Amino acid sequence: MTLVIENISKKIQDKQVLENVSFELNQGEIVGLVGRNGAGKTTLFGTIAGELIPDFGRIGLNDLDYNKTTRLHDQLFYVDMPENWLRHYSPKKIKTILKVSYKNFDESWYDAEIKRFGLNNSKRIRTYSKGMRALFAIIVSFASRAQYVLLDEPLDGLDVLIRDQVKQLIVNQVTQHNTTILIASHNLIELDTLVDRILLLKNQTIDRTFAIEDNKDIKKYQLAFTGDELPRFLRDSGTIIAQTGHIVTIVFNDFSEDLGIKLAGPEFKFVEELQISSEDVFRASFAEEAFTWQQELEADA
Amino acid sequence: MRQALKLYTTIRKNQFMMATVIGMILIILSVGSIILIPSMTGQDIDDTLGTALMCIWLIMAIIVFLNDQSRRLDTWLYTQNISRGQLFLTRIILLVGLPIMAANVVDLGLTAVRHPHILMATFNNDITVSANVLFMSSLFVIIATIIGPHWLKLAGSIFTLGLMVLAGPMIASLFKRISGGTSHFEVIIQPIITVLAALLIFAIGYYLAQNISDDTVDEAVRVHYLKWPIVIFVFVATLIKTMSNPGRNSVDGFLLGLILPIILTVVTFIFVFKPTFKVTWDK
Repeated sequence: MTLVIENISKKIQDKQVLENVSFELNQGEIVGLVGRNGAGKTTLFGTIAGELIPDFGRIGLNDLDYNKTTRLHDQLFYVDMPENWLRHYSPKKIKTILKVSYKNFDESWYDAEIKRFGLNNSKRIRTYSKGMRALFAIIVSFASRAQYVLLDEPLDGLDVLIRDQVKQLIVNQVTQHNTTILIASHNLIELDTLVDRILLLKNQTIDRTFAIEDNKDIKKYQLAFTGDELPRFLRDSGTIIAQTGHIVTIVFNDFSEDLGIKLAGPEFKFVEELQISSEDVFRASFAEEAFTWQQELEADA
Repeated sequence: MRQALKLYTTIRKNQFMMATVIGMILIILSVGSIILIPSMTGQDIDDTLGTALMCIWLIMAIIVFLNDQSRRLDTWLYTQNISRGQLFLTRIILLVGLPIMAANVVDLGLTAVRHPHILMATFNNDITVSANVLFMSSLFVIIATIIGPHWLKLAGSIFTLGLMVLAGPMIASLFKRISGGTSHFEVIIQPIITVLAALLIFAIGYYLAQNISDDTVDEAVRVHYLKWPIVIFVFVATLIKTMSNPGRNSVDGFLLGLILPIILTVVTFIFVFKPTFKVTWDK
């Protein structure tokens, strides 16, 4: 069973937010969705879930048009955060509603998790703290036993201990129920420990899909240069993440053999390749914007 | 459709129960006051109880309807295993049809028990009132479907209601001219025409509801191709009204009659299209 997103385009108030977005979500996968603020992550989630009607494109599930086949809709769970209908009801009432809307709703698991995390069953969700609301949204999502769960910033506002528990919940859900989870997050360090692959939303479309271990083109180096000034080619071909005196940490978006030869040259006293993370890939993908900002900052200084 | 009805009644169970309790209290108060206060004329209470129940329940329905949007329940229901069209029909059945039907049942039931001799007259009266209420409800429903923000929904409804009130005598005389003043027309044909008009408006609303995306919730007009027609409608409707007033034959009178339509049209245009004006002295 695969959820296929095909050429989705969406304009909101005459502004193109999504353009020809295409990707697939396979069973039992955890996929990250990253992009800059306002890139269209929430719009994409809303469009997949059926809140928004796409201007163009199709969402397919089991060879059927997901948006037009309403009987498939209990196969996918999504609530937009932070404002959603859940806040106006108690967990007790929400259970009654979701039992009607999701035929596989796991009542006993839901009750057990509510109890485990000490959430008040009779109080309205809006009286909960921000972290507790996020936690409740995750419990509800998984209790639905929907095959596909879309989570928008699920770890936002959670303390470290609860975050670990939630991450465990996510992993258990996938291993025990073969659920597919699409997570939108700005917390790339957390994503690295969870996801199988990451979709990067840039320029209104999925710019690239990457898995850290598969990435051969993006490389991260720490190096020390010999001259007074940073060699020009570094700025032109990479994104400088940190610089202390002559020591520079840099990410190359499109590492080539030529670059490797240059780095081995006399301009550098010391060169070391570092472990790459999603954050580095993200930075490298937005190298141009980062470079422009860097220049503006330098000009201001 | 069954799933839509089941889901919506589960979500709104408390409100339906509250409406039932309010209805029961009103019925008990009405019947009780007739029994306990002998000087009170039971006929008057019986006449107004059905209409009062209908009004109270429809006001509650409007609140529930608006509340669905402000609580973002609509947004979530769009993701559920019910279609937008089914959700629209569910609301029509539960929030419009049910209150009207229930009020009529109460009205006819009480009449049958207390004044069986006027049952037919009450029935005829209820049909006319129900048809008119259904028509007004259909107007509100289509306005609430097309228009996004709550206060604009209310403004649009008040504007349309005002137009209906002003056009009322004209429509009544038109009906009279067609019917030739026969009671058969007033009792049967007129309600049928009103109900058919309401059903037509509901059908248009059903079609539009299927194509409304949640991202337009803050837009004055949620259906792109209806933006200009609505601006034009406001101008034409207001113009017809102002020009029908006496003293519009002279140039001054004509120009005076243009003021209100132009103001209302400009205001509507601003809300619908949100034009941005840049005031600057820079070259």
